[in-house]
Parts: sequence; C-alpha cells; structure tokens
Amino acid sequence: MQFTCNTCGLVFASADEQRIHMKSDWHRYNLKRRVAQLPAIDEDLFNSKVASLESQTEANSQEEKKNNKQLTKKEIRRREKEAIYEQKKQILEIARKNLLAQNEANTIGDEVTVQEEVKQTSPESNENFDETLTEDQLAEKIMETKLANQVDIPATTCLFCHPKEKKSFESVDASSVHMFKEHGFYIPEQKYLEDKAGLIKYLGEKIGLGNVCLCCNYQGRNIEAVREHMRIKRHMKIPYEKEDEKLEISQFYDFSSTYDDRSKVVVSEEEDNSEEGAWEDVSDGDAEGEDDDDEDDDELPSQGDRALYQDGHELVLPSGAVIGHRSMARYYRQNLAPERILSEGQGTVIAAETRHMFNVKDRQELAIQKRAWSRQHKREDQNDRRAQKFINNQPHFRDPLLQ
Amino acid sequence: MELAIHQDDVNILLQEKNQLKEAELEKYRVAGQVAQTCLQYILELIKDSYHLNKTPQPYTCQELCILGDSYLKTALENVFKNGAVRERGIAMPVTIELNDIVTGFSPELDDSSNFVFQAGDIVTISLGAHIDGYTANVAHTVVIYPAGNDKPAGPLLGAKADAICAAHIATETVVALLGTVLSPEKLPKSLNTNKVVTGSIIRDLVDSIAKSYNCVVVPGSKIRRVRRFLAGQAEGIVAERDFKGVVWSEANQEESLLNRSSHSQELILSDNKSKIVKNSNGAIPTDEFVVLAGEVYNVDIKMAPLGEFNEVGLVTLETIDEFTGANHKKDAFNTKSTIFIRDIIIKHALKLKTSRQLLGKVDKQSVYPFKLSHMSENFPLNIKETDQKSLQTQISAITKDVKANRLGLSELNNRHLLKQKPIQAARFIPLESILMTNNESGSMGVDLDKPVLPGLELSLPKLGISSLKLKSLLKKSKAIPVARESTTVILIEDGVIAGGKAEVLRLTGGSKNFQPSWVHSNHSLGGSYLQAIAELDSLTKDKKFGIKIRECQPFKVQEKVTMQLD
Repeated sequence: MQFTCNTCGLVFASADEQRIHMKSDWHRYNLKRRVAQLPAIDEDLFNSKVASLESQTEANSQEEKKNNKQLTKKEIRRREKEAIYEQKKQILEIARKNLLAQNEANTIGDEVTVQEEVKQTSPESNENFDETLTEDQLAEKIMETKLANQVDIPATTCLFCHPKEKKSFESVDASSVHMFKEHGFYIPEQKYLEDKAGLIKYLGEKIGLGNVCLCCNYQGRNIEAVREHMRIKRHMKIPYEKEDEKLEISQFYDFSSTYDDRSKVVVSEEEDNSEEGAWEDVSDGDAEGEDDDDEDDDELPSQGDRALYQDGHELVLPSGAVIGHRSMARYYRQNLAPERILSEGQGTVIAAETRHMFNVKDRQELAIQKRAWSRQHKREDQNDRRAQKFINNQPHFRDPLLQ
Repeated sequence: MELAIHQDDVNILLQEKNQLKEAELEKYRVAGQVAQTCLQYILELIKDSYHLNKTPQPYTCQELCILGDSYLKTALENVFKNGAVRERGIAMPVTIELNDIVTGFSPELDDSSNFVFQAGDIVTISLGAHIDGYTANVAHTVVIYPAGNDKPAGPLLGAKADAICAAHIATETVVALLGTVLSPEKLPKSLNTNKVVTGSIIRDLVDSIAKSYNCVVVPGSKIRRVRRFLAGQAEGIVAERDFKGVVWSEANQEESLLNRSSHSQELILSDNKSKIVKNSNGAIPTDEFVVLAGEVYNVDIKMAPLGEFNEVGLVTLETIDEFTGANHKKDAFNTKSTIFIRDIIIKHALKLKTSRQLLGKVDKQSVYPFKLSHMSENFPLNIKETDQKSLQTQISAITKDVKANRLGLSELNNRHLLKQKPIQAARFIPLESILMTNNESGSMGVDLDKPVLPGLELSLPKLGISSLKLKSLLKKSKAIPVARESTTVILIEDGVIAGGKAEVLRLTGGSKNFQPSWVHSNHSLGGSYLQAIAELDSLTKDKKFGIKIRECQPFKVQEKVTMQLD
C-alpha cells in the first residue's frame, strides 16, 4: 500500500502525512495548475512564489495607501489595463512553452496515431486583416485561414472530447455509443439512417472546419472554443425539429420506405371507393369549398389520409373541408354562379355564332348615338314638366263660379 | 362575349362532325324516317277526319299539333336506344298553317280558338326531327277537299293551284339540280354553268318557275346548307358563320319589279352596289357560293300566287301578334306565338323560381325550338291509348303544366333569354301604295321583332323603305295564300357507304311518299329555263344514266291508330 499524490508526484509513508499534504496550499495550487494543464511545481518554487507575491501585495497596499487620494480615474484604468496585459503575456508565454513541449513529445515517436493536427497560426494574424480588402477577398482570406486552421476529425473519433483524451474507437458505432453515453449525443431517426459515417464526418467537419456549434449558430475562434461552448451549454445534440434542420442532414437518411407505404394506402383507398364523390360532397357542402378551383380539388387528399395540405392560402382538413386564409376573404365571399356546361349542340351554335363581331362599335358613331339619346332624354324631361302644369288633380269637377 | 369555344373544338364541331360517314348518314337517315312517318301520320289524321269523316268532329289545329309532337317524340325515343346519341328531339314542332299563314302557327292546348279547315283550304304541315344534331326538316302542302270519298271529286283550281304546282315543280327541280353536283357532266348545257352549281343558278331557276306559274317566291324561302345543329332553326337570332344558301327577301321582288319599269332609275333612292359589305365571317348570305358534294341541303320553297290581283305589288310577311291597337282590324286573325327558341349567348340571373326551373328544362333539351307543352312532365301523350278518358286526363294535365310555365316564360322572354318565333302571314301590298309613301324613319327603322338574316335588315334597299315602314303599309295589304314544300337532301359522294355509288338521299318529302294534291293550274312551264327544267326532270326519271335519288321511307305502321278526341 502506497500513499501518493498524483498531482504533485509525491510518496508518503502514512495516510496521515498524505492527508496533511492534501490540505496544504501547495497541493491546492498544483491542483489548480493541473486543471489549467500546467505542470506541477515543487515546494521550494511554491514558497518563493508565495513570498514574492506577499511582498508585492504588501508593497501594493502600501503604495495604494500612499497614492490613494492622488490617483485619478484615468490612472486607475491605465493600471488595470497594464495588469491585464501583463497577465495575458504570462499566460501566452506558458502556453507557447507547453505547445513546444508537446510537439517534441509527439515527434519522439508515440505509438498512437496523431489524431488531431493543430496548425496554429498566431492569433494576431487573424486580427490584422487589411481593411482595404474587398468583401470577396476578405471572404477568401477567411476561408484560407480556416482551411489552414482545419482540424480533421475522423468518423471513429469522439466529436466533443479533447484529442488529448484520445477517444478514438474502432468503429463508427462504438464512437456513437460513446458520444451517447458520455455526452448525451443522440442521433435522431436511426431507423432510416443510411450513412452514419457520413453524418458524423459531416458534423466533424462542421466543428473542425467551420468551428460552428451543432445546435446554435455560435461560431468559435477555433475548435477548442467551439468544443468548450458545446460542453458548457450542453449543445452536444443535433437539432431535429424545424424543416430546414431536418433538410440539413436529410441526405444521410432514406425515408423512401415510408413513401411507399403511403402511396400504397392511397391507391387502395381509391380502389375501395371508386366513386369520387366521397370528399367532393364534403367540399360542396362547405361554403368555402364551393369556391375552389378544379385544380385544388385534384390536389385534395382523400378522406382517409389524415393530413393537412397547406398550399399557400388554403388548408385542407382531413374531413375534406377547406379553410381559406383571411386575406382571401373577399374572394371566398363572392357568390359566383356555377360555370355553364354547354351541351354539344349549344357549343356548336356558339361556335358558329358571329353576332359579337357585329357589335364592335365605332367610337364616333357611339358618340353621336349618345348625343342623340341625351337630347331625346332632355326633350322628354321638358315635355313632362310642361305637361305637369296641366294635370288636373281634382277628383271631381268643380265649377269655380259656384264656389 | 363571355362564352367562347376553343378553336380546336370549333374545328371539331363545325367541320369534323359534319363530314359524312356511315354513322352520320345513319343518324340523318333515321331522323328523316321519323319525320316522314310523323308527316304521314298527320296526313292520315287529316284525311280520316276531313275527307272520310271518320271522326264526329274534325280535328282542330291544336289537337293535330299535340298529336304530331307526341308522335315525333315517342318515335325518336324508340330509335338509337343504346345510348350512343346524347341529344335528340323535335327540331321543329309540328306547325299547321292555313292558307295565308306562312310559318310558326302551332296553337297551344289552352288556345280558345278552335281552328278547323274548310274545303278548298290549303294546309301546310311542317315539322322536323334531329338525332344528335343531324336534322331533317319537312313541310308539305295539301288541299282540303270536300268530304266524301277517298278520292276527291275533282282537282283544285285557281290561284292556290298555281302556287302548289309552282312549289312542287320548283322543289323537284332544285333537288335534281343539287343532284347533278355528284356528276357535273350531267348538268344541262342550257344552264351555262361551267360545270358547277352556284347559288345564282338556283335562284334563277326557281324565279323562272315562279314566273311561269304567275307566282312570287315568298320572302323567307331559302335553299340552305344544313350542318349539325345548324339547320336554320335560329335564323334571325344567331348570325351563323359560313352561311351557304339562297335566301329570298322583299329586296329580290323589288329588283324584279324595278326591272319591269321603264322609269326605274328615277325611283331608285340609293344604290347599294358600291357599298362593300364586310363579310369576313360569311354570315351575310350571298349567291356566290358553289354547292359541293358531301353537303346537306334544305330546300324550303314558298310560293304565293298573284292570280287574284290585277295590280302590281309586293308580297311580304306580317307578324301576327296580339296587337289590338287602333289600327287593328276587328275581324283580323289574332293570336300569340307559341314556339320559342333559346338565345344561348344571353345570360341573366332570374328572379322567379318558376322561370329558373323552366330555363333549366329548356337548356336541358337541345338548341332547337320548343313549345311550352313540350316542357310538361306529361308530354308526350300516349297516343297508342285508345281509351277516351285517359287521353283527356293526359291532355288536361299538360294544359295545367303549360299554364304554370307561362309565368316563368314571361320573365325569360322579357330578359331576352328566349325569343319567340313569330307567326307570319303573307300579305300583298300594292306597289302604288309603297311608291306613294314617304319614309321618315329612314333606313334605320328596323323592325326588331322580325327575324331576318344579317345583311337583309333593310327591306327595300333601293326604294329606301325600312321594315318598320313596310309594317305600317300592311294596313293597305291583302292576304295571299301560300304553298310550301320543304325537303332535306344529302349529296352523298362516291364510296362513303361501303360499295355504294354517289347518290342523292332525300331525307324528307318526295313525290313517291307524299304525292302532291290533285290540282289543276291554267299556267304551264315556260321561260328561258324550260329546256333545262325538262332535262333535269328526265335525269331524275332515267334509272340508268340519270341521277339516283333515293327517298327515305317512313316506318311501317303496324296498327292503324284510330284516335278520338273531344
């Protein structure tokens, strides 16, 4: 039985010693460093760090006490910025060291294949785009940098785990099982999924090349950022609710078996009720249904097919009734007479009819005619008024002399 | 126009369906047979009732009409029973015109005037049947002899006899002339026709026959091409595209009268020859057409004799309506028209329920004229029924329906959805009274009630007399009897019927089935066309080298229908 501390790389003689160590600040500091993926430091280094920090804080506090009242707001801000810059610089330095160390370790000859190849350019270069570039060139440049930053994720590898964890599997199924169990990554409609490897590869490309979250439209700076985002927000899932979401991954699915079923059903129903009247009656009875064109009637589903067909402004209920959109209300309200169906004889007579040709009116002639009508009307009016004077309204004749 | 037919459909309806093949010929033939049988049936009824006195009272006009219509309807229902024919029916209700009445007299059952015929009257029976639009019209004039034996005691003499002779000879000659289209080499050389039969030759021939019998061709006579559903039933309402036919109007009489006068140039008010009439649709009739083989023609000739009149005059048609105004003569015959035709292009939202129902019934039947009694549920009468009582109940039921439909009819009529076919009577107006009048209304005074073909609106174009003016001149007119013969012929080309040669199929009429009445005219054929007419006559009789004319035989009547009314 050994008592060890993996973080600090120590061996203890007894459990008590180990416990004491675990409670120490040194160990805690090392733990934090481990989380930040930094190597542990030994006790001497830790102590010296603590001493320098304390002295600094003391100095700071003294200085603060001294200059507290003299400092302007501007000065305070400047200092804060400087401090942050300082911190950033330190972190970057550490990261660079780490990276170099890792590269060396890889080239020495690890048995495991290199899973992810990080070709990192300095982040500064991304930012230093020339603003004089046109949009196209800008897009091209972005694409170039993206391609340069591309991380290739094979289908047999977990999409969300860091390459360090080396979650690579023998098959696509194994990796998907892993992703389901570890990350809750669920692939919808697995029954009809044709190309699982393709789907995972596509998603991998989305993460690796596009640096886009699977679920929302978050775009990270690099693959790590996206992975971090997905892990934190629990976005490790494929959205499968809206039409465009479904369409996005539809190429990997095959639903043709379901289509077959449906068409078969329809055919059999048509055979069953050979009379078309079944739903026509319904639409006839419906006040709005009467206004439908013949084309719409053709598209109507049979009654058994309980589906809502939405074509622009009309919704067809399973009952066969048609619901029209409010914007078309003025047309539905029109009570048009049914179209005349001509018999062959009537058609022949109308085909031979040329009367409408004679009705083409000469404008001048029409104007003369209108003038004549108005004159006649005026004359009649005058006549009427003149005649009114002589109308005798008395029911009986009364001799004015006898009154 | 709201209603329009697609050009492809127009081609099918007007051209393809009119190309005669065996199926079409069969329909024409059966329609002709039905019409022949019905005409024979009515002639039998008249003969039984008026010549042999088999009935206690003679049949009145309305009884003959309803019996004839019922017979037609029943006969039409009994042919082509397999459902191959969608539309069939009466193409022209039975009309029975007496003496001076020319067209449209077919009194309804509830008509109070009981028309009976007198000895010496000439009676024209006209009717028509169609099967799938293939129409056969017929009209035949018979003489009412004094009652007695089967064979009349003597022939009819006088002016009426002239008219009957002229109408019969003109019809037979025109049928023969149309027949020569099938073999143009047989055309008489004296006609100088360049081996084609044109409208002007037909007109000249008929005019010369009329002249030699001292007759006038009554306005409204025509020899016209018949097409499917277009048999002249809607003339004056529909301006028919590609009209082909010779039409007689008052203008033709005016021309011949002016030609006789030496001072004609002074009388002529306007000469319309220079006026070019736009006739792109062929709706305005001209004589410049050529009769072709494979066409169907209806020959409808009405002749009015001038023998009773010593003066020169014009024969025109008076529309008999219910006018009882100041100008109405107390003793004049007055009745209302009973035949109606639907004007298909007119659309109107009707108010009355009865009129809507009636319009539905009218539209369900075809495009042909109808009577109100045809719209009854109880029509046709079961004429096989010999029981007196049941016939009476049937007739009273129809009368009741007619009265109910009258209400709806008035709205249809007011909204111009229906046009009534006028009852027209021939009138003789002395030329003097025409020349003495002045026409204030000018050439625009068109009588809209009078159906005329497009282009013939002005009655006397040279004298500048409009139809309204002519109507006012009717006060000074006298009645003139009219004889009418109408027949439908098909010019069948070679090889249309399997193994058949070119022949003329005479659907209706024909002297073999309907012998002309025994009349004697003092006039005889003459004129410049005498030789041509004689040659055409001999061609029809020559079995070997002549023109083959086949007549449609009426159906064999199994049982003699002994019908008793009243």
